[in-house]
Amino acid sequence: MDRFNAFGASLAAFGAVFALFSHLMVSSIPLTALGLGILILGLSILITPTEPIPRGAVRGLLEGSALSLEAILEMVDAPNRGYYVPHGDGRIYVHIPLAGDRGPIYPETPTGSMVAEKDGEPYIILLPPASEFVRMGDLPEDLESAISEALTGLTELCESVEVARGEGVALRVRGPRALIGAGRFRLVMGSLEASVAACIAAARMGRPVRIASEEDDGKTRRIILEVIP
Amino acid sequence: MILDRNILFNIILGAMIFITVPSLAALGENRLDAYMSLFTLEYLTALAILRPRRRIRDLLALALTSIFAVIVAFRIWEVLMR
Repeated sequence: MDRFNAFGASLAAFGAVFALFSHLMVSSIPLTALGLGILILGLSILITPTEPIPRGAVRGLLEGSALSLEAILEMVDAPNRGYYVPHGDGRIYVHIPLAGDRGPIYPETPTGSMVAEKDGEPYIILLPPASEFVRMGDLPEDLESAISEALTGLTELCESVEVARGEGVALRVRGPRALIGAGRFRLVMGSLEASVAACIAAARMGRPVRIASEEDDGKTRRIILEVIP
Repeated sequence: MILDRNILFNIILGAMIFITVPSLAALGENRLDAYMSLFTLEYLTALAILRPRRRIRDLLALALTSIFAVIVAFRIWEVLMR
């Protein structure tokens, strides 16, 4: 509950007490009606959402973005997992090796180009769907809270998530909700949940991150993020 | 600045409620059901025009409509029993 909704709850409580007091102590119908009016207004504010965009729509936009990337990845026939790399502009980019995997192009990250090379191997550089989330400043500072807020609150991509940090980052995602079946996107950038988590991990740790593994176990998905030194 | 219609709904509802109470009081209205009926009409009218989003199902509209239906039923009952 944010401040706006808390204000609504306070207003509703005040209205209820004011109406009761006016009816029992003062026996004034207009004052009782005023209390009931305040109660109605408070309840209306309480059930008013404060986010300008419904969260389901945010999820839909992410899925649409993933499908666009899927088309590009199919076109270049990307065979390898990508690296989520923080760039100087504050965004997270995915460096995708198109042939031999030589690791991320880091720290000499290329700027403004979609195609790059490392040790003679070609790479394609794309913006993942959640790249802009990490620049918005709405997410908490610590990694665990930021991933949890992004996956369960901001995008509603899953019901709940547990985050554990060791050498890498391990996630247990319960009830993933993304509906897209983009196979190439999943092969290269991971599932949408993993992609969002990798973006945030790369931004918060300031290091390249790669999705090491993903395992679906019924309604739970286990994701391991590898932090590249 | 474009005012969000959800916020606008609450502003208009608040304004209508705070205009209704002194207006009816000035007219000497002493029936609580008259106030409640007007609050209900104002809420439902603003809801129909502005169509604000709700975090949950709009139980407030349901409750107000039910109260309004009971008030109207009592009035009809009173007329029929005369």
